[in-house]
Amino acid sequence: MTKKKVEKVLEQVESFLECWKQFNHYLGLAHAKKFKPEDEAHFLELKSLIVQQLEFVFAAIESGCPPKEDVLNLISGAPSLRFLSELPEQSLRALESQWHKIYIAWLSVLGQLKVHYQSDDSKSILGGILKGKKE
Amino acid sequence: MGIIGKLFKRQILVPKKLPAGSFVISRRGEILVSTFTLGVSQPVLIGIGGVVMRAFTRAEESGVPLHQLEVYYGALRVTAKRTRVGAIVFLTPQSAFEKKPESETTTIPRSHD
Repeated sequence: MTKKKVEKVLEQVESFLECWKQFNHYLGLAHAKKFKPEDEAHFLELKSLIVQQLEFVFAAIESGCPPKEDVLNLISGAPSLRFLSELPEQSLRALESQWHKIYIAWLSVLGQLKVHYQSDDSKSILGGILKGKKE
Repeated sequence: MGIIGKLFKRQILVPKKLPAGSFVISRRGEILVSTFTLGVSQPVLIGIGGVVMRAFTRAEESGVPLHQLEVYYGALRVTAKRTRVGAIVFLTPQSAFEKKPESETTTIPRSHD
């Protein structure tokens, strides 16, 4: 993989992470029960962006960590802000915890990408990340 | 219908539907991901994203902490959220009868350049 391609993947992962952080912002709004109708619409849009970006990222790096199913399960478990705001406190906390687990896993992927980008051996980027998947 | 009839046939212009969806734009002005259909012109989205990014950049240069931008047009609401890599932009068509929230609204002076 060329340095330019790695740069592109890095940008995609960073962008995905920013959207993922926004997801948490909406979880907070639901938790506080302070959201407007436009927040509900934006939340739906954000989920679409996350799912699409996830496919872009997985197509580029084929990383097995964090599993795609975990991300999709979390998103499908949050159909709307209204639904989330009506969830019991414990379920919402579990959702936040799951969100955080995935966030940390993605930060780790981002870190790996940055290490490979900074080193001259950018060609081994695919190998490095795929190694984790095969093991 | 003859050739003359075809030439002078009145063309019915239907107003274009406003785009509804969202996209992520990078600092370099590239669209990273979008929820718009293929029918929505990419240059239009890049144009909107470019204006949004310029607003964020100018605010940053002026030392104004601007993280979210909402622009209300007659029939379209543009909401942009600043991120580290660029911005997330939401385009929401709205009816003229929809009530605009008076608070938390940032308007950008129209540029004449």
